[in-house]
Amino acid sequence: MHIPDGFLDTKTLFITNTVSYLTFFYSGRKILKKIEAERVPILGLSTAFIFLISSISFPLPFGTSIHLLGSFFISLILGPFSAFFINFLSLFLQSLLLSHGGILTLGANSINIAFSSCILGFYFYKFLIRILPNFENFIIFIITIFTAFIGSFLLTLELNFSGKISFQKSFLPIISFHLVSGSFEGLFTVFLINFIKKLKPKLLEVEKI
Amino acid sequence: MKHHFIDRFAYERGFLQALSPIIKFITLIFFLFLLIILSPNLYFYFTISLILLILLFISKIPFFYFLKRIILITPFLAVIFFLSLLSHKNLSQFFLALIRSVLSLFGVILFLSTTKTEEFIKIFEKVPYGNLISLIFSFLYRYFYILEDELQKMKRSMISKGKKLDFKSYLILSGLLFLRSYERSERVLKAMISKGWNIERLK
Repeated sequence: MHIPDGFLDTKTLFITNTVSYLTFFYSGRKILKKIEAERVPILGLSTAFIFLISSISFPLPFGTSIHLLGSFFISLILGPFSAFFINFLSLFLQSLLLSHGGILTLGANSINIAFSSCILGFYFYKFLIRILPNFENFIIFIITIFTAFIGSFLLTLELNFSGKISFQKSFLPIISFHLVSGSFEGLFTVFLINFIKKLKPKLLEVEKI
Repeated sequence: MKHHFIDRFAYERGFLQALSPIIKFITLIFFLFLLIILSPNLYFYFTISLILLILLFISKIPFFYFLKRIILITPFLAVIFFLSLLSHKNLSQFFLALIRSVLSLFGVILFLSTTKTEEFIKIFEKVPYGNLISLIFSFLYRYFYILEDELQKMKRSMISKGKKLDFKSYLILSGLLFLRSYERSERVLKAMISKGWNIERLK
């Protein structure tokens, strides 16, 4: 769920934007330090891909709908900081073009979605795959759900800090909705990684930045 | 294939179209901050709405287009409304946030629909890592519609073969789309290099 402008107060906006913009500029520095010509079009087309994926909604029961994000998937292909960088830009454009989120709430939305999926998700994956190397699909699925949990936890916290909702009473409905969308996202990520492994394994060897 | 390009009103001869994109962008950010910082006041919101409506009118943006864009945020508003009720919060807080949110979106619509995409991309050349950001934006603008067309073609081909468009077929389409994007990126790189593009331009 992307928070539109107008729903977060100044202190929450200040904290989330500071963390998010610092991570964005740090990611930009890391990318430019190691970048090679081959990586530039992949970054651009991956941004177009996740933008397209997130613009397609699926209907769910009770009149609700979800859309996929592709954030964790892109971090498994390009690495955590490249994925965060392009996700941040994609979220910025989504707020302008699709009205998913806002300009001032970009910091909060990118922490909830991009930071939790791309950076936390990637390092959890690295940690777990070392312990359980034969359970890759299961690990990817679980981490996608886990990042959806972290994202919804942060979302509830931000709205609670801004005095819009009560944390105790809203956490359960928010988390339930995000766990459903997280499960779809998990299936999507597992499927895509296996699809690429079969048809273009070279893609998984791209340097992770 | 028909696309609804976001900057289609930027080519009209209107008031906002004539202003510099950077000035419009800075004014938009200032306006969004103002809405958050100032204490809620219905008279202020009413005056701002009037000014924005006049700007919409003199910039020749159809009111119906504006309404269609505003409707896009209703799912989020519905969820927050439900959660505010559940939290026993004062609903006036929710309605003030709703007004701020609609006014913010109004500002974004005015900025975006009166700015040509190439001018929009140029704004970001002046920020840190601007060359990389504007390159990614231009890739996105150039290839989003191409990828969308490819997705529609693949969808039609699936339907013509009698396959149902469910979540599984969506997964297959996404996988194919990603692989095609990657293959396209290899061709794009060759084209860029043949036109004299150099990685040093990004640094």
